[in-house]
Amino acid sequence: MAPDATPERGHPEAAGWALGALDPEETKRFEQHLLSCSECQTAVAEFEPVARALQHPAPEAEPPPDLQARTLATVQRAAAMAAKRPDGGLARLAIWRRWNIRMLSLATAAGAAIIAFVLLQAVQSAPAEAYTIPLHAPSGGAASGQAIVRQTANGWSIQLTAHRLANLGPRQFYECWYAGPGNSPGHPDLITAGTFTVGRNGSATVQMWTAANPGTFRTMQITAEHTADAGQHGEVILTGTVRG
Amino acid sequence: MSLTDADQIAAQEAELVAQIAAGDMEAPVTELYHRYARRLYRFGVQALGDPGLAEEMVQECFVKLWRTAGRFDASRGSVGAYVFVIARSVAADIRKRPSSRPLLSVDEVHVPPKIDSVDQILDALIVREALETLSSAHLQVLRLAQDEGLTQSQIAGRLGLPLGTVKTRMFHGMRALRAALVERGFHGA
Repeated sequence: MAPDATPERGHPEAAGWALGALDPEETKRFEQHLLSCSECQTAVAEFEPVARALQHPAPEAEPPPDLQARTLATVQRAAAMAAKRPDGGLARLAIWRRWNIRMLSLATAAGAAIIAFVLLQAVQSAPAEAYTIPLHAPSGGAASGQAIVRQTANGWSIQLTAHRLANLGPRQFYECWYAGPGNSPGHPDLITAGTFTVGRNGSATVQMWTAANPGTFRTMQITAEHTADAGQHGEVILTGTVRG
Repeated sequence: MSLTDADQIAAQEAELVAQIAAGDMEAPVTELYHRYARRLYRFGVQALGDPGLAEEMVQECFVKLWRTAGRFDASRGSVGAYVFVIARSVAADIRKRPSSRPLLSVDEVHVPPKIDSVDQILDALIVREALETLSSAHLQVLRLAQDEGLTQSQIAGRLGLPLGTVKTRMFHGMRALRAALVERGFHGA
């Protein structure tokens, strides 16, 4: 069969040839035809670079759903720190205050969306690997919690529940950390996994994501932090290590 | 996309950066996040080979965009180009940090395909975005040919379609993909 070269059909073999998707016999026939068909030569010249490009598409990776809230919170924190500096100026401080109020409502909405997403994920697929981290108050207080950490395609998801935590004041929040085996005062080996707040009842159920493998970073700490601080400066409110 | 559309988008995005420079952060940062986060994240995954580092890169890009918004000059380039200049710089910084060492054991680390340059990564991002504009019917035959190495006859058998239908879908899929690549300024398409 001769290749169909009618303009309205648009030389369909040209695309298959450029992709290497013709059968061997068809390839021979098309290449013979190609020698004398200027339209097919034009089509092949157009399709060859497209076929080459197809060999290296970027990964289909999607940013995690909570990254927007975390990104905005990171910019927020940078703004707060800039406002604290003498050269940060009052204007930036005013901007920070106005934005902080807006962020509270955004964080609430983002939290609800994340919880919904996580519940849906939990129903739809079984995790490949999971760790449970019971959390207790190192000071012997009443606060308690539990983290269930599950492996995902792109890291680890953390489902954290905590109870009897104090409802912190303005610009304060709880932060979840993974501590590595070398973590010690003055030599931090910490990776943050996210921040959250609690309501009046002192409870929280939140979902966070991290790249830290709990098989290596086996200790989790929950600290109380202030928006103007970078790093871990606050008191450890809850702590726990991977069970088993 | 017409030139007018592209110009309008460029003007909108320049205005968003101007708003950030003027201190109205939340709305413009959110809008630019919606426009660029996916591309930035994929750039980060490709450039750094780790989803966690890619997330870090996205966050730092927006902090840097906020810090330098006042220096953005629309007459020197688009916001998109500016964002990826930032991304290139942030990715290079992250790569140098000792804390960027993989947290997983060696056999767990995903090693991305070797990409020689940032421009190649950006081209790969354009290819991915162009693929996402295709209809599912076109995308399906191109994937089976490219990813699984099937011939048109094998694709017809797999999908239970007449061979002519597969040929036509592949042709129009390639044509649509080329148009999407050209529209996005892909080098060489």
